[in-house]
Amino acid sequence: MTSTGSPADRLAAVRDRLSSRTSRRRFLRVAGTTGYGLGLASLLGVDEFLAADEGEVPVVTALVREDRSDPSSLTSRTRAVPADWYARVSKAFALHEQVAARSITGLLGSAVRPGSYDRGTATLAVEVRPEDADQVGEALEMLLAGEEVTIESVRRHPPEDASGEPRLAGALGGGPVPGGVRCRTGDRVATLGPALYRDGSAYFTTAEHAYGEGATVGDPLSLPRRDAGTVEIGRVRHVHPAVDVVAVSPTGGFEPESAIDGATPSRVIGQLTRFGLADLAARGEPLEKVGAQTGHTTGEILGIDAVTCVTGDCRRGQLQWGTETDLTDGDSGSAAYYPTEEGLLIAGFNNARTWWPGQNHLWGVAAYHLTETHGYHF
Amino acid sequence: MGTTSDVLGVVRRVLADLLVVTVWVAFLTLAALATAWPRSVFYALLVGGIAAWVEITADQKD
Repeated sequence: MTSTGSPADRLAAVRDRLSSRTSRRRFLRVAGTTGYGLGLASLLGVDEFLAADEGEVPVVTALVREDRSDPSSLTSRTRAVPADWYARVSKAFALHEQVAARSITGLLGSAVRPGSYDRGTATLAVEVRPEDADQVGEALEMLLAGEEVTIESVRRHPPEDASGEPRLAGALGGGPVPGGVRCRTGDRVATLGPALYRDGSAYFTTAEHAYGEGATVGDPLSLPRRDAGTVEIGRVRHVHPAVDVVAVSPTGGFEPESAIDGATPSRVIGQLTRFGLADLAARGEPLEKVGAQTGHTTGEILGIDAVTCVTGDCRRGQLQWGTETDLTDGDSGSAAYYPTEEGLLIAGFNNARTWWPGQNHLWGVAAYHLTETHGYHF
Repeated sequence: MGTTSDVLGVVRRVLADLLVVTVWVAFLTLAALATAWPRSVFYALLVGGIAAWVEITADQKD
């Protein structure tokens, strides 16, 4: 934001020009007291409540742990973004809610795509079957009257099978287990997510659909280990099919760790908000993931607040990013994250990918939606 | 003037500066809270105020 040295430096330069008697002592006094003043202001947290400069608005982009060892110490992190962009994206989110609230026949999915800061735009992207395109187009025209909408025709195709060597956990006998490694759900496999928290409890987590016909409370979650066999690490405690997430209580001396094995840095420090994702999309900043099957991949954010109806039930609050080759069977339950110097900010889960022509991304429930609807956080 | 009084003078001046800047920052923070100033106005007043304070309290021989 404001660099502490430059105002004093600039001031000193002006003073040098104005007075030949300007002394080093006076400069040091200005620099020292200014540094102290700026430090004090930052200690008081003035940036949190100062309005952004004209043409900018502050938005909360992430929830970050103040105390790294205390998951409940979440504080908001803000960033100043262009006001016109913010207005457009907010409007797109609001319009998209209206579209999502009506069940328009033939609509397979829809998402908000924030544009770049220079263009200050946002578009709605909707997915329809080719035979329904006209009908959906008319319905949207009535609803949105002149808004920019991208309509994409999609066809269903069956998914392909996975191959390759999976990422396994080390020979752990207990203690913390990071996400990003293979876990076993009965006769299926998935990727273990980083620790999920709610009401002071820490949970292991993965995709609910990894339990096949549906998870039930008490189902075991196991960890295949390199050279050490498979061991049970927890039992399913909460099942959330609508967001495709299970919360698993740890057993046998294992505990979920706020970290992703194979990510750099590996420690998880918090999660991104809806506008945090929009901000990253506007700046073209990529997300990353570590899946147990496909490993580490990187990709652009393609859609936020997405609704996806292709799996039968409509899923809301989805994040679309990357390409369909970034996810395969066994990667479900992995987390999409944005690395910062301090640690990882979780964007959401990766639970599915496109398998139809015309689109190419993976998707899963966004962290902010999971927090809003079920109270969990990373 | 002896060295001791020089040192005392510097210490007194530093303490006075810190006190004045503390009060100034507290005042600006309260004012910003009440009026929702933009970031640039807050920092301009913060730095400008400090520069003005140094200017008016500087000895001519400085």
